[in-house]
Amino acid sequence: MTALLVPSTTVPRWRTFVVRNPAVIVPAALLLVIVLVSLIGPFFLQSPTATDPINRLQPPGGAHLLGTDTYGRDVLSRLVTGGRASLGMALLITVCSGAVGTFLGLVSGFFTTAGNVIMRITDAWMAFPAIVLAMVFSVTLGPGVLTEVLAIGIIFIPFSARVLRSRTMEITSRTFVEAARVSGMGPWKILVVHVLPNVAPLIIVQTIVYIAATMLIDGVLSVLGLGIAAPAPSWGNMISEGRTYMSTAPYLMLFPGLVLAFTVFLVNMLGTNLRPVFDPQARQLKALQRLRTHGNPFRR
Amino acid sequence: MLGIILRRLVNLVIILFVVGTLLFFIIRAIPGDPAVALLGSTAKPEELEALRRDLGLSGPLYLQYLGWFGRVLHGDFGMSIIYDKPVLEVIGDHIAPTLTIAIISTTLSFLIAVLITVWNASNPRNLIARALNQLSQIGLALPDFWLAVLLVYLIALNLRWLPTSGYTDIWVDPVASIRTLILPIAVLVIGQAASYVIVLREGMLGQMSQLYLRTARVKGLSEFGVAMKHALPNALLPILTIVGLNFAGLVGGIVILENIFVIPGLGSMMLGAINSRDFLLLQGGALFVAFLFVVVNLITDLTYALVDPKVRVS
Amino acid sequence: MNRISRRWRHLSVTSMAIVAAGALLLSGCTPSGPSDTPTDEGTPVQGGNLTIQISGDPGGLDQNASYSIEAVNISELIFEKLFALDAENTPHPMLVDSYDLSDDRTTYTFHLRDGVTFSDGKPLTSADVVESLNYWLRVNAQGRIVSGDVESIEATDDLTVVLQLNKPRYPLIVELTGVGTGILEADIAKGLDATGFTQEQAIGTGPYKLDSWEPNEQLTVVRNDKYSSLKDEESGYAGAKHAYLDSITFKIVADPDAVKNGLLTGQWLYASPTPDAYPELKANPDLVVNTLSGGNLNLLVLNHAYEGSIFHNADARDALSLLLDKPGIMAATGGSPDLTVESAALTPEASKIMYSTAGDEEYAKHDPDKAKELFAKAGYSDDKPIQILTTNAFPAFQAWATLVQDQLSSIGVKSEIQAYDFVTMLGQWQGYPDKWDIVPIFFNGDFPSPGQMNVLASAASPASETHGEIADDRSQDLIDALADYNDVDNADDAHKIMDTITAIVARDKPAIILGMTRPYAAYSPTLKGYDNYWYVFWNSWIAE
Repeated sequence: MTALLVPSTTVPRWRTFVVRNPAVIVPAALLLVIVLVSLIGPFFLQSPTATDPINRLQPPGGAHLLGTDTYGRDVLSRLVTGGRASLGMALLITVCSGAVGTFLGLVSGFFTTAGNVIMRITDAWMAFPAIVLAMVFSVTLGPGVLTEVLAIGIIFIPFSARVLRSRTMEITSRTFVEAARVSGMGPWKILVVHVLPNVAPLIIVQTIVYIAATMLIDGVLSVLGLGIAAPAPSWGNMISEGRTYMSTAPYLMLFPGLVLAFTVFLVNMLGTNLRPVFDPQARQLKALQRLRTHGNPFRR
Repeated sequence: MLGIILRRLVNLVIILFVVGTLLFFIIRAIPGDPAVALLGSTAKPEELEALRRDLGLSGPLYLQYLGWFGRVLHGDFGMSIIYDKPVLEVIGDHIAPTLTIAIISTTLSFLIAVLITVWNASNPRNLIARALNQLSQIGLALPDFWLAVLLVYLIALNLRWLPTSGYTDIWVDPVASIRTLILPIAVLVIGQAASYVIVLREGMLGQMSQLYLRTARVKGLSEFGVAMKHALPNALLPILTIVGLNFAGLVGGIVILENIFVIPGLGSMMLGAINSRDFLLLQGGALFVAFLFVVVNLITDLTYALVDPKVRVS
Repeated sequence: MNRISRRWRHLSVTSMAIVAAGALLLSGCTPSGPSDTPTDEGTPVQGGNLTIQISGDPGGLDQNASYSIEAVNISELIFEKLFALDAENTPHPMLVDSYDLSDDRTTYTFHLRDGVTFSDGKPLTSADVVESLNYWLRVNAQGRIVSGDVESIEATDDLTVVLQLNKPRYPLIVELTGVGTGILEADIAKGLDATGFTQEQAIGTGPYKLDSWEPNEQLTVVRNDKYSSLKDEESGYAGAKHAYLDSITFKIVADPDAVKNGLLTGQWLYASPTPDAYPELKANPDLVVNTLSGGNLNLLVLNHAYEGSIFHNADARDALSLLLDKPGIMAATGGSPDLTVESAALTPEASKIMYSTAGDEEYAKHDPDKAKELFAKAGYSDDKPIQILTTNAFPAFQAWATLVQDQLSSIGVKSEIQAYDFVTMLGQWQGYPDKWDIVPIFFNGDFPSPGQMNVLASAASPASETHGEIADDRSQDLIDALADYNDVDNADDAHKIMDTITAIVARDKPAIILGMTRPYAAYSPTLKGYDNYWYVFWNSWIAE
């Protein structure tokens, strides 16, 4: 427990880290490959939006390695480019909601009155039916990046705030914070200098868990017609477009589904295995476990 | 204990008030006039205005809000446009399928997760047990709508073991009902059980290494006995909240599965309400889901308090 | 009872007359060459229940208030009209025994059939007809078009109705087979407004009557034992109605996969799947797959009447037409050549009078280079990308939007796709002409007269809240041709005028016609006696 309270020194240097943590390195490396491919790949492939109605629904193999979709677009190219949207959205949403959640969590854990008010608000926030909110946003703003960021991001904020709050409260009660207080340090400075570095590992792990959840929710929104708007590809809208052809062109749905599942799996692995690295006793385990499951109201 | 309950109840009312208010204004921000949705654009302005009045959708927004809230306090959620019935009655009609699925899938997932975890904890080196753990990571990563389409294709369409879609009330025809429910529930169980396994396992492993269990082992209790009798009850606590929240989440959020399996549940009811701008039904439905969420949360927290004396004190 | 309780319909649409979930609006008239009529069906079997999949809740059974395909199809089983079209596409008397037309072609005298009763036992009288037609003329978008020509409708005795026009109207009898002309009881029809009648008031003289209805789930009709059938041979939508089936259940299933899967596993015997599924189902030996009467006119509505849109300029409209690979676009969503008619004709082929290929030459022109030039000439600039407005509720619309965007980008023209849910999209389309340039959509191609066709109605963009009335910018020769059509007295002249009208539309391009899609149904071979006329299930039975 104490290990975590002293910033920086207990985090192993990268060399030992790599050797000691294959369970972290392997998924991280694979994820890196996926990210790189989706970033660089599109430059070497044909346009993911170029249609060719004559050559629609071509099976995998031949000129189109993974076949073509109902408009004759190249599935491989869409799959690779779709990674940008899916991963990018997930990251954007997680960072946005994480920032707000962290801020609320820190403040509510540190200042008692504000904390109580914020907690009441998050109580109501969590009770708000997420799917209704997502649908309302989509109908109001039209499908698109902003809609998704708002619809999904808003779900995570209260959960993120809660977890951060309990951690912050715990750290605030430690002697070194008390000492800083006595020495006349301002509350905001204490928050930044002493508290933030100590909750940072939790924030990182939490972010990773959300990335996985967000990618799945993105798929759900696409199926509801609320996700990233066509014709730009995302794994979610590829699955959603492909599912009508399950019996005649199953590859249209299978490929993006498998890629999505594999990526989420890797992210989850990374999150799970990174936790003991930051906190050998996995003290914040419970909080995270709560998150992992119910932090994703679209999961079912 | 009574104090806690009272405090929580007051809390609950406040939360519902806040949620209801937010819901009202957010829903009213949806573009699209319900009167136009109903009458089409050929309707004359006076026809539209008359309809808006009837629907309680005319006049300043804050007055509409006050009117709606006043009626809700008296238990009157208004009339649904689509169904031409009181909103509460419509919710009542759609709650059964969703609740059936939520209850069965939550219970099953929970039991399966407990079995897998206990087995795993008592045979930590067993290959199959370890494989099951890894599988749960995969189960967690599978998009459920994707899985649903796949299962329908394989099991219902190719093997013809089960119907591809539909819903029969479980009290009307249990056999037909179970046959239609198997696939949607299977999809939910795979995802849920996976997440419970992961949470439970961490707790169990922590418990199994606790000192106090040595005594039990010394007394000759088998590993399985230790796991079941001592480690499990302690490890179950943290998962209770998750199960509760998951359950509440299911009640409002299985829109897509309801769509794929053609189940007339709450999710599809609310989707329909949005699409035809049935605002009163949407407000009522969303408020009901929020209510359920808060109540389930309360129950799990109270159970928690009941089981764990530490919580009661704080 | 306040008015709210009468609002039992779902989502009716608009004068721009399309759809509800998944299909086209059908005006319930022109039979348009369904697949070959089956022969050797065996002896009809009395009894049984037929389960039919439909894609959305009908939203109501009043054709004047609910425009969905489901509303129209189901209500046709319950209500009858004065006339119905037979297999030759000719109006055939149904509730009318005979009628006389004065020499100046302005006075119609209808003699009603004796002995017809409503399903509640009340006999049909001339008062019912007068009130029902008045309701149609008052409320229905197409009825309102006709109403300008109607001087009066009067009952001269219990079974005689006189309809007085102020000038001849050639298509009147065909128009009386159109949507909304079903005959209701007088005291029900009397006070109705645009919100339509209630579920309890759904009482007609048809072969079936409403039994139960759970919105968004299912609707059941049962045989009307008081039905009085014609003795004439059945033909198209007309003639004898035997009502072999005890009941017909319409199951509401929207998910395209579920529709197809349920059909393959026998959960419903009859379904209308998406065009995408056609080749697969057609290849299935366990199913009968046939095209139906009617057709969808697929088009890109251009914002020609609004000065702020690039398509106000005729060069831009020509450019878009020259650019687009129309057959290619149709192929990507049509599913199969069987379902696609590559033509600028405004109606399905079977509508002999109105079908015209006069626009096909213009339709076939394809020259992307010229298109690029014309766009430049029309003043296109990258600062103002072309706005394509669509809805995610109809995959086909979105597909066309996607393909159009791609083809535009191939000549360096930028465009943006705005996809909303259906109601929002309608609002944007009709209320905000500055928010769109192109709306991909389909209209029912099956109208009884050219004057009622959406494409030919005044200005594609109606009055708007933000920009006031938009002027009718139709060319004078189109307005004249439409007037001429009403004035003719024979089919040949009418057909010639349709050639003119079709050519003018192809020239002026208020919308770019992509082609016609034939609807189809897939059903179990045990469904017998079904001639592929949409809702004509009254002479069908289920083989034992």
